Order: sequence, then structure tokens, then C-alpha cells
Amino acid sequence: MSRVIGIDLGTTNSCVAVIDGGKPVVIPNAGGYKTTPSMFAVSQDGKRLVGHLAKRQAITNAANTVYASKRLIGRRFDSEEVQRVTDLCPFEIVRGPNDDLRIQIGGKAFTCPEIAAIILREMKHVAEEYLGEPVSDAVVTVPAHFNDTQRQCTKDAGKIAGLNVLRIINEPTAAALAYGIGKDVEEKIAVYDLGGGTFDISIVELGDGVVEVLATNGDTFLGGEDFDRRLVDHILKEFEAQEGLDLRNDAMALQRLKDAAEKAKCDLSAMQTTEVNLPFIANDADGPRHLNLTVERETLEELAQDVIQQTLRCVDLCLTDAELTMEDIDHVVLVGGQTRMPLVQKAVSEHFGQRPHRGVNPDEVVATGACIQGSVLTSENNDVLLLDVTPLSLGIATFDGHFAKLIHRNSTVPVMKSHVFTTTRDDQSAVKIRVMQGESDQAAENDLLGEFVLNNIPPAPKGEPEIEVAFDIDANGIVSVSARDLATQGEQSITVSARGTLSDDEIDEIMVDHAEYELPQEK
Amino acid sequence: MPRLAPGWEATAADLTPEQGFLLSRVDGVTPWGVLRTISGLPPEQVDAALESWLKDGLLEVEGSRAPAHEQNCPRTVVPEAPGDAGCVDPSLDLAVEIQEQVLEFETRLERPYHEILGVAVDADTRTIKRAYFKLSKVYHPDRYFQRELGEFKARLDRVFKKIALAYELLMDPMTREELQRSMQAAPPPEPPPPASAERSTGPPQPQQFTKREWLDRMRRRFRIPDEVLAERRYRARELAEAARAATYQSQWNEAASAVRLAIAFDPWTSEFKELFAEIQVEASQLRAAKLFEEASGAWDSHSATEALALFEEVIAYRPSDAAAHERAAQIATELGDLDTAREYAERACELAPETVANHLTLARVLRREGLKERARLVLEEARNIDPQNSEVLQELSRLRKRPGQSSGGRG
Repeated sequence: MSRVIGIDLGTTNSCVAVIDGGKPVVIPNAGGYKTTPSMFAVSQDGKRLVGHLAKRQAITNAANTVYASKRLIGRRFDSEEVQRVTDLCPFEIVRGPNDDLRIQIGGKAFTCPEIAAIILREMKHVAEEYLGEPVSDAVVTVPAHFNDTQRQCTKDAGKIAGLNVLRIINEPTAAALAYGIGKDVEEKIAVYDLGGGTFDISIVELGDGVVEVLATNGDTFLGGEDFDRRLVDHILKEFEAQEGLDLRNDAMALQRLKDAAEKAKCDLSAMQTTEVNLPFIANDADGPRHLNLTVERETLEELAQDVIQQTLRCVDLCLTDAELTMEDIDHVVLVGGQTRMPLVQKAVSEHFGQRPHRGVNPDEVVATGACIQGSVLTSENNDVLLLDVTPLSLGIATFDGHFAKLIHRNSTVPVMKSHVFTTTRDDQSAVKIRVMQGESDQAAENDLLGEFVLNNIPPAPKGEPEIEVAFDIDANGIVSVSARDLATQGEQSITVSARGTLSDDEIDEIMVDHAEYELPQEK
Repeated sequence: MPRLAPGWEATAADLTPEQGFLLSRVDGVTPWGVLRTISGLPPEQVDAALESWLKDGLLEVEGSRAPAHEQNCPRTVVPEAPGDAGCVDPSLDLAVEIQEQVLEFETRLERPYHEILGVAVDADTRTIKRAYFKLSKVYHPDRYFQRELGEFKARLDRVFKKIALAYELLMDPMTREELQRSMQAAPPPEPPPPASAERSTGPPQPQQFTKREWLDRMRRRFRIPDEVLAERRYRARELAEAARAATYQSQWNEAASAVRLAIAFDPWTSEFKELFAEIQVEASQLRAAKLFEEASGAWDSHSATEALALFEEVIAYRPSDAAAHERAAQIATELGDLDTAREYAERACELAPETVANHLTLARVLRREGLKERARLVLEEARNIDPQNSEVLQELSRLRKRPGQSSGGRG
């Protein structure tokens, strides 16, 4: 049986790990790096570049280089999140046929799952080269707060990449598993995961080889990228004030600036001040312009302050959901590159009243946990079990536009819940069951996962028929919903999980298309 | 859990059908959280209604109000009937001992939750958690990921979900307390009926159920205790009696209110619905009569707009009330809304062609509209009914006096 790899498909960097010689090993890529930039580009001569190769040419080929596409996966083109990034993106985002979005580079429109697939395939190659054998099974991680569509898109991406995705697991859960493995303790930990594009907080209990997620919370649109964007914005304003030039419409300048801002941000984790030096950033009638700016750590901290506060609010909500207080938490584990920032560490320490645990590598722990879960699922004898939860509530829309939750967020999966509903009009013969996911009381503010109609309800005064709606989530996270009229036992049901933004036909098409790019990457 | 307070019937307010349904579901075994989801009303309206009934002394609540997450009440979780007693299949990719354990566990799925976890009724949370972890490591479907499990896949799933539910309910202080109390109060639930046969064998067929069967099924599925059902029916009958008593004294509103509640408690007895229909007629008559008085009063005090609205309401209750139509027509004329006035006047004449006043009113409207010829025809009809009526004669002579006037001239 081939080995199962664990892939942390990150917003800015991705990482792959495998159990080798009984221990999880993070696999370095051909360049010797343990993480690979989640970047994809089409070069001027039409070649497809991934990872470091894509990053290296990003400045000279900004319009054809995609980064942070994980922030866009599974979202509608019109969504607020997409609209927020389009103006600062050097690459072009266009509307797709299913109201989804496409990224237009190298003269071709790519879907987000397709780009994720290209990165997943790269990680698969990294593992295969290291192991010297083909790999097909994988556990892939996603932010805990990803919704059903985003998860399905990630699964689709795995399929396009030629991977059999055994399970999609939550990033903080994976981190907790990696942290807890081999520890014979009973403790409650908080996993604070601030990555490139997303933030997650999970409260996890360990004991007897069981890793039980008590609660999870987060924001899928909050992370290091926000810090970068703020810094870029700050530098743009400073430059405009000094030189009277607006660089916002210059894709190449923006890409250089973005790179420089990311580097400055990292430098400021170790230093108090740093310089952003970008000669020949622009050209106009007065000759070439150079950008030369000193950035203080305090400036960055000011810019980042509210983002960090936002994460702490999620922490409090999560603790409330877990019905715990700060004192109940034995350890705080920091995950994600952004937690290297001193301000983040300081804020977390102060908030929890304890110094974060320093035993895990924030960049690698998620992939490590993913490969552990892969091995736990597939090996016969092991003493570890992960009890994960569903991060978002599931329910149905009621007649007055409200949302009736049947399965509450943070319910351990697999789970089944049912409730009895009734009709709202006399002699109502059919009810429409609209299956939704989200936390708002208002149905319209939640995500619609699917809908179906239960009909042939015998005529009766309103309020009299009893219609039992049952929700079921299996261990793989597949949601099925059924509605049954208790009088006639008439029943309708659907399985609602299989809704990414791509149809099966589209996936097959993309797979054929990608096959021709498969060969040159072998060597 | 909310339950009805003694003497609540006396204070029962005029309820909407939804509120009646909600009130009928208050039976002392359904928690607040469940009530929020079963009535068809938005949760906040349920809260508001329950709160106000609490305030009015209709309800009382033991302990504190249930939080929303308590919706996972044991009563509403429908247990899947454990199919036929399965047997061990050595060809499966699942150790025979585990198969035996699963089958054995399935026979105990209807036991009280603490017995499912194998802990004492008053076990502390740490003990409950350890028991849960231990059982999870045997029964969680992930332990047998992608293995050939045959029918044991569904069995494991069922068993684990029950274990997780037991854990969830026992870890919540609120539900734990309730479960403990119900353990003391009631004997353990009867074993589930062998209802699985009709669900698992053969292709699904549309089935017709008699009311009796339906009731039985409902009772089994939701395990509404027999005594609660009996109590509901008893209450329904009492309410219907009260309704009848009220009808003897012509207290139609009270009667309607009581019988509406009776239907909510016992929707299966058609007698109550017939009674309701009868009372409804009388009650609306009564309401209409009262409105008629109010409307006349309003007209007398020169608030024509209000009077018209009130008469229109009377007409809604009594669509064949000619007098109300005639009054409405007069007021509408006064207000200058001639189209409406003519509609009401014509309808009044249709409803009571023998009443001279109706024709008179219609004729006046027509004259104001300038339709003299039609007005004269109407007046002549009135003169045929009562040749001596001075108002009719006066109106006729008024028409003749100005023969040259055509429509739109005045008015």
C-alpha cells in the first residue's frame, strides 16, 4: 500500500509531510526548502511555473503570476471578499460562467480549483521525488472556517492533481494532532493559527490518545496578506506624498512593492526599523523615480493592530462556545508564519495570560498533522483518534426568512439531528426544504447548500402536518438531508455536499488539459 | 421545561392558530428550546409568547429557561430502529469480536444515556469524558476507514452517533439534571417497537394510514408518554365543554377561543372543528353587530372616514348585510367616493330589493354621478314598492325639475 502524504495547502506557502520510518517527516523541495510558495505563473514563452520558480519571476511578469488564490477559492465573483482584492491584484480576475471567478493569465482563464490543483501536484512531485515511489493518497488541510463549497473546491483540486483525497481536515486540528501525538497527558490547548490569508482558533482537548476538538472559530479572510496589503498601502501613500506619483495602476511596481513589503514585514519581526529600497520604481517626464523609505516596527504594529484585535475577538467567541475560560487552557500553540510577528505573540500572551508553547514549527506543523491523520486512518493498529467538529451550523430556512439550526457548529461528526416542522398555510401540499450553512438568524445571510421539495402532503389546517427534517453528517463531512411527512411517510432527501464551483464535466476537461503539462515536470 | 399552570384556562387570551399550536405543545416534557423550533413561529416570537404567558400565569417553569443549544432534547432525536437482529459475518474486514460488540451495543441503544456510556447517573464530567473517549476508540467510523464493513458500516455509524449524543447531553449540566430527574420520575422507556420491518423491507410504497395508526406511530416516534396524550385529549374535551357552555350564554368570542385551543390540543377529533365552524359563524355575527353599533356611533359623531372603515369591516363579517352596505354607500357618497358608493348601494339593492331606503340611496348616488335616467328607473322601482313614500316622490320631482342637466354639471 502506498503511503499517505499530508499537504498543507497554504495561502502563501504550502508544505508536504509523510510518515517515514515511523516518524512524520517534512519533505524539502528540490531547492532544499521545506515550504513552497503557493504561486503559479505562465512565463512569456508559455511555460507553466510553480513555487519558487514562479515567485522568482513574479516581478518581471506580475500580470501573469498568481499568488494567494486560496483567498478566492469557492467564492462568487460578486462577493465582497473578491471585490476587495481585485483592485490591488496585479493579475486579472474575471467573472466565470457559474458566477464563480476566473483568473486570466497567459491568455487563458484558470479556475481557482485548477490553480490549487497545480500547487497540489507540485507538492505531490516533491513527495514522490523524496520517496522515490508514486504517491496517490493524501490528506489535505483547509482553514477550519472554510465552508462546504470551499472544501469541495479543494477536494476537486485534489482530484485534478491526480490525488485521492482521503480526507479534508482543519488546519488547527491537524496542528493539535501533531502537537498531541505521543504525549500521554490530559490537557486542553488553544491552537492560534494566523496564516497568510486565514485565521483559525481551535480549542482542543487531549487525553487517552484522543484528540477532541471542543470548538473552533475564525475568519477565512484575515491573515498575513492583510498586513502586507496595509503596508503596501502605507508605502504607496508615503510615496505619493513625497513624489506626487500614484503607483496603483502599475502592475510591475505593485508586485515589486508587495515583495518588498512582505520582506520588510518579516524583517521587522527581528529589527526595530527596516528600509524599503526600490530604485527605478517609476519613470515620468522628470526622469526615473526611486522609492526609499524607512519603516518602523511601530508603524507596522499600528497598521496591524485592528487585525490582531479581530483575531482576539474570535478567540473569546471560541472559548465561549467551548464553555471554558482562559484559566482552563493549559497551553497555547501558535501556528502559521504570521505568528512570528512579535506583536502577535505579545497580544496572544497577554490575552491568554501565558506564554505560547514553543515546541512546534509554525510553518510545518499543519502538514505534519495531516500526514499523521493519513496514517491514523489507513493503518490497522494505532491508538490515536481524532474527534473533529463541524465548524458551521447547518439548518433550514423557515417560512418567514429565519434560519432554524439543526446541527449546531462545533458538533462532533459524524452526527445526526432531526426536528419536526409544520406547514404555515391551510391545505399546504408541499414544503420547500432549503438547506443552509452559517451562523446568522436570517436565512438570507447564510450560504445555500441545496434545496428540494417535499410534496404530496395531505390537505390539513396549517400547523397540523408534522414534517420531520433530519440532517446527517458522516465522518467524511458529507451532508445529507431528508424530509419526511409523518402522516404519509412520504420522504424526500438529498446529499448536499458535492457542490464546488466546478461540475464533474469541467473537472474532467481540466484534467485532460493538464495531462499535457504533466510530462515536462517529471524531470 | 415549561408546563401549564393550574387554572390557566381562565386566563387564556385570544390566540392565533400558531399560538394555539404552541400552547398545545406545552406539556411539561418538551423543553423551551424545542418549543422554539416546532411551532412554525420565529424563535423570538415563541420566546415572546412564552414569556408573556409566564407573566400572565398561564405557564410555570421548573429551573431556569433552557438555552438554545438544548434543542437536542432526547425526545426529538429520532432513533433509527435497529434493523433485524443482525449476525456476525466473518468475511468482513472487521474483527468478529468487534462485530459482536456492535450487535450487543445496538440492543442497548434505547437505554438511558448514562447506561449507554456505562457510567453512574451521577458521574462527574471527567468520568463521562473518559468513558466517551474509550467508546469512541472502538466505535468511531474512522477506526475502520475504507474497510469492507457491509451492513456494519451503518451499524457503527448509528452506535457512534448515539454515544456522541449521550456524551453531549450528559456533559451539559442543564440536560444532565433533567435526565437525572426524569430517571427518578419515570421508569426506563419501553423497548422500541418492531417498526423497522415496514421501513427496511421491499421497495418503498406509498401507504395510507388510518388516524389510529398515525397516532400510534407518532406516539412511538416521539415517545409522547401515553399519559400526556390522554391529558391533552382530556383537556381538549374540557375546553370543548367550556366552549359549548359559553355558546348557551351567547359568549361567542370566549367560545371560539376555547374551541380553538381544544383543536390545538387534539387535532384529530373532527367534532371540535365542526363546533368551531358553528361558533365562528355566531362569533362573527356578534362581532359584526358590535361593529355596526360602533360604526353608527362614529357616523353620528361626524367621523365619516372611520365609520366607513367600520362598516366595511361589518361587511367583511356579514357579507349579506344589506343595511351595512346601504350605510357604507351613504357615507361614501358623503365622502365623494361615488364609485365605491354605487358599488355598495347596488349590492344593498340586490341583497334587499324590497327596502325602499336602499333604492333611494342608489338613486342619490346615480344622480350625483349625473346618471339621471338610471336614477329615475331606480326611483320608479321604489315607488312601485311604496307609492306613498314622500322621500321617493320628492327625489323624483327633483329629477324632473332639471331636465336639461347632463353629466358632470354639478355635484
